Amino acid sequence: MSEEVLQMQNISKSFSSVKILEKVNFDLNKGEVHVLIGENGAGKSTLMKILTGVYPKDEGEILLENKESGLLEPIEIPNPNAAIQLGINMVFQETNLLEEMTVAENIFIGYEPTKNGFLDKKAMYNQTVELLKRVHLNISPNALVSSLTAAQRQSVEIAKSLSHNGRILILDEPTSSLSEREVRTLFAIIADLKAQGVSIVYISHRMEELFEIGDRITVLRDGTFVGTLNVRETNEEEIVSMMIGRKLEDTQNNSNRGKRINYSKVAFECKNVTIGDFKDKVDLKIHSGEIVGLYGLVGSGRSELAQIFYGIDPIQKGTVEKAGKKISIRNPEQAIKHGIALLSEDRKKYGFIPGKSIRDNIVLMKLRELSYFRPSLKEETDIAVKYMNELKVAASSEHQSISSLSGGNQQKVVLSKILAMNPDILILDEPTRGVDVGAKAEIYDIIYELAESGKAILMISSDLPEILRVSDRVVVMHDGSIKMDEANVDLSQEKILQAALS
Amino acid sequence: MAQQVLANKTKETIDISSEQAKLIKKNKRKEILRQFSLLSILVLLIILFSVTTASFFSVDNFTNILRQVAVTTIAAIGVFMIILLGDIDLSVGSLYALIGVMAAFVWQGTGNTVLTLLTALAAGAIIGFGNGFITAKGKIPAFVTTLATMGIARGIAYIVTSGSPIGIVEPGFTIFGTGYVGGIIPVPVVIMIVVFILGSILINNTRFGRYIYAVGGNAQASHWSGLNTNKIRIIVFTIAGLLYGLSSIILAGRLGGALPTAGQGAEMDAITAVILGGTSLSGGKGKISGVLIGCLIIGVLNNGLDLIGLSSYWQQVIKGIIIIAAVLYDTKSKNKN
Repeated sequence: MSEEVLQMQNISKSFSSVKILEKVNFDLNKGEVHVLIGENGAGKSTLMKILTGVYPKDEGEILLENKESGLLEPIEIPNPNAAIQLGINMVFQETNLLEEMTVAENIFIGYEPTKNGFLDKKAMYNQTVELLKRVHLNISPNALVSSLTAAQRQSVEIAKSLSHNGRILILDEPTSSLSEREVRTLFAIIADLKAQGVSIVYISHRMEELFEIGDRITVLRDGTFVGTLNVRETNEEEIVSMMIGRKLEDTQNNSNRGKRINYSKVAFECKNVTIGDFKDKVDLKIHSGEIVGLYGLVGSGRSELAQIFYGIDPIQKGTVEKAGKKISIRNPEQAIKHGIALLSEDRKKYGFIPGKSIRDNIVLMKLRELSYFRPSLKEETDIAVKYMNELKVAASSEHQSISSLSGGNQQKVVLSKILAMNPDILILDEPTRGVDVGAKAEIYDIIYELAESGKAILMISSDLPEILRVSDRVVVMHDGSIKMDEANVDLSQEKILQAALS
Repeated sequence: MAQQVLANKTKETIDISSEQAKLIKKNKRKEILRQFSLLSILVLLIILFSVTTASFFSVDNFTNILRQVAVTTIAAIGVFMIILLGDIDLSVGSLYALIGVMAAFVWQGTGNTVLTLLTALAAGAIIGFGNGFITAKGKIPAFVTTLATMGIARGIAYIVTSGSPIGIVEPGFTIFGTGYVGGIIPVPVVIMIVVFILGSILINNTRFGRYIYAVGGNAQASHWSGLNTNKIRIIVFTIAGLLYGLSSIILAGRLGGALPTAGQGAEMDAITAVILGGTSLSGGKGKISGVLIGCLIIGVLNNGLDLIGLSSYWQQVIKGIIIIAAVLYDTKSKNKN
């Protein structure tokens, strides 16, 4: 009964000349669970956002089953509302429910049943009861969403999509915030929906789940379509190698950086630290002169760990030591005083002050060490120019606004700001995100030089070739705990990814 | 200095198209033009009123205008710093009333001029600190905090005075409102100039001034850069409160006492001047010189329209139109960038 309900053919999409998707194919049968998998940035979200009308596609065709004739017909999905009308719904990791409204109100928002021009609350209540039954949810339709757990909210979202006669349901990492028991309930709901003929696109990084509930699996890599397989006819190794692909130049880079030197001095160490709601304890050591590459997929807790080290999030359990001495870090100010600096993964949000000059941004942290009044102007210029030259920032002068620079140059300015503080421990969260190839290589050289000069470096990255190329030691996280911690000697992308998925 | 830097650089670092360079130049020109256009509006108004009325263009009237704008300008410099942070203060006018009343009570009780002045300044600073503390630590929007203190301050001023004025008949005090330095320059104008100079130094020439712009430009990035954004916010509100205290002294000095009704709508005058001066309400952008010009524009407008004989109702209408025109111009020039 492999009756097709959806075909996406040769879908391409670019954002400001960067190709995100190139000729991607995806199809969906009635009542199946089709898993969509790929590394961070492989294009899964973009493909689904095109299907739900969030982004317009540049090229390609979307065919959807006509409800009357049962035939596939080309359609346009110009906006999210059109997707909902066609029965295509997406449940996001972060639910979009309105906290201070009831479950029934949330489910019917925008489509409230009316009688004589007034809200038909009774119909709304009764229909909600029916919908909640379908998602195994035993709560009152009049309960406030703010009183629900994460799992219950997710089920309400699913019920909401069913209320629009949803026939295609997209679940984005639905189990990432669920307990084991809640996962079981979700899977039971999915099985029910399948039996009712609802087709499900299931995005997840958790290998074991895919084999449990998936019917077919499609792998994307760097915005291209790699292949679609029957779950029953494949195995974990095959999927991992499809996700990574064979790239000669990268395997050559599979360097022996791990053999570089013997480290003696532990610069930074954390013991028994827990991340967010995860229970496992994290132990991590970084030596002077060492580059530790931290890999983990979205939701693994890697950025959260970095934020604990930098005092953005309070440390709940465990201790942090610098050069053997226990230190307390309650805010970034203290972290900086202890010689710890962080380059944020979100440059725009946390990295720089928009509209201000390159110089003002570079010296922002350094100002406290300069004289209080303006005669430091010359000093400031000297510092800014020094780092602009060292890091090869391409700009007309230090007075140019940072907002007018390219991503790579903005990143160099933010890095300059941190380096000006001369930290001993550098945490670089996605240092080459949104940076072009040329600037990438330059940033790698900077990182090598910093390690050479004795700094301890923790580099967080979602880019496997980058991890292998830059790191002396590779640490892999999954669900808030460390799954692998090895010197970068004869490591492969497969091995790292498998640890991250386990 | 820019050329020197350019010369220092290796060729590969100067990887910038001539188009981009042109754009930067163009933006710089625009910024100068903007400052200039603000000034030219002021000059235009002065010419307009000089031609249409007989009594506008005289030393006496100009001195008069300056004295009239002094109270607003001093407070507006405080409001300017708050808006630069991306916050707002609605409590200015009510604080005039409460601070004035407190000072008047101290005067009645002690008869000590110095103590009266210190009370006014301290009261302003403490209430400002409270506004900043609640906003920063409570993570409450400044709009809400100061909306509340606006009501509280005005209410207390009425309660403790039962709605009637309290006189401060002491030449040592009223001199701040009505006196002259050297027989020509009004004392309020001298205070205004001193505050403006000190404010300019703080904003443009100190580390703290730079921090205000940074927090207003991107509070999160500032926090991640190790700035204590709460402390910065609290200090700015405290300084602003101190300036309101100063304005209150001048106002009470001019009126010869404290009124619970004093300063009705003063916050709007200050905010209007700051916006007219080109300060972005979203924070991080603005010049203190713009505040002064903004205040002068409003002062000239009030004075000139009075002389023409336009009713105060019409004056409000015209001021409103000018605000919309100024902000429209501002957003339009921003969008072009």
